[in-house]
Amino acid sequence: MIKIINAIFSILKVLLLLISFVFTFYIIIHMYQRLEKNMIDAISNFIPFVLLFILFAINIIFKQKSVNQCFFYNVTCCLVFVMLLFAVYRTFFDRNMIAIIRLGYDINFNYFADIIAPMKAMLYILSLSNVLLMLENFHWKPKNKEVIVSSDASKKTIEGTKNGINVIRFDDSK
Amino acid sequence: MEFIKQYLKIINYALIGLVFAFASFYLLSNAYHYLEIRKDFITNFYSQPLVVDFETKIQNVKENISSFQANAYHGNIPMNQMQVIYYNLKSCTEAFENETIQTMKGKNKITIIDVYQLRESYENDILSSCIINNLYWTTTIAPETFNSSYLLDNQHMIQLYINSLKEETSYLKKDLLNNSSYFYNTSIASSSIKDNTKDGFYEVMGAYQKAASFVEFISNWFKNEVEGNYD
Repeated sequence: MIKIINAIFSILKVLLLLISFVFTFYIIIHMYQRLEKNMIDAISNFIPFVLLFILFAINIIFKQKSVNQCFFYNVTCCLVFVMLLFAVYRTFFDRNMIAIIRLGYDINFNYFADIIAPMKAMLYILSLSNVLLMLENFHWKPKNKEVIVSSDASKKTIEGTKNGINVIRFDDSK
Repeated sequence: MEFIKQYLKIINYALIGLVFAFASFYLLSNAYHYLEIRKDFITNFYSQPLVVDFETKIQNVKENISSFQANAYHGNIPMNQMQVIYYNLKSCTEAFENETIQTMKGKNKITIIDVYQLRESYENDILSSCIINNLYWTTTIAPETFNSSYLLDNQHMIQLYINSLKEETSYLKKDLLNNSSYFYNTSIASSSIKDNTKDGFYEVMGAYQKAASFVEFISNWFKNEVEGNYD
């Protein structure tokens, strides 16, 4: 059951990332247009989205279980994107906020401007967590496997055969 | 190496926990704010004492100026000036019956947007059109141009009253604009959104009533002047 829920959250986080990116992109581009600011400056707002998207792609392509099966990480990602989408919804449709009437646009830039800083902070931390989760399963050097290269004939006894192959038992006490 | 990995794991989960907590807080506080600014004030517009009082004052102004007849006036003030004062007061009564007030008549609940619209119409119609354009002359008249000791004697008080009318809804304006940028639940942020509809309504209708009192005061003097009770 938990695996199914985790798989749902794992897929949902990618979808929510894409949806929240599209709306955030739309709002920020219009915000910069309205303020007549240089569009190149707007790029810094999209870097955490792109970074997170690349990391999610790496997680999926390389089937990284340490990330994909981390329930806490998946839930947190979904929560952050849901929060972002709620803010996006309010930016467009919350007519009880006075600035949306006063500014005369159909987008409440005043409200969304407050969201940008925490949004960037949270997305950067999620990216960092993703990298750290990747490192969790990373082996610095290959594990040493004990391979028997020579055997002391006096220590082994043939216990029997299984499927035509001898089953050998080693006993150090001999 | 295993030690570092364990340490990184702790740091990582702490970071995820931090984001989880912050996102939860932000979501909940936004939801609270979303609901709070939706709190309407359920009331009948005309059942409010402030509205009744304000309407009565405007009715009094209408009655006071209705007695003016250009041919029948024999006072000390030149006829053309009396006619200007009459039209100023008349247009003031029209300003008080502005479009926003008319739309409020059929309403049984007041929203935060209604409070904002009432405040805007107070600033544009009442303050700008009526008080500043039509009645500000009461503070600038000189003895040689206007022969009315009553207005001249009270000129300083009238000036103070008009100044207070100009600042009457400035706090409300700040509060209303504050409701669009909500961050943390500080006491200042809370005070600007909690029950702001009800408080704002009383504040703006109080300003309407205060302005109506001033117009009524001038119209009372005008009536006395017309009826021959010269000062």
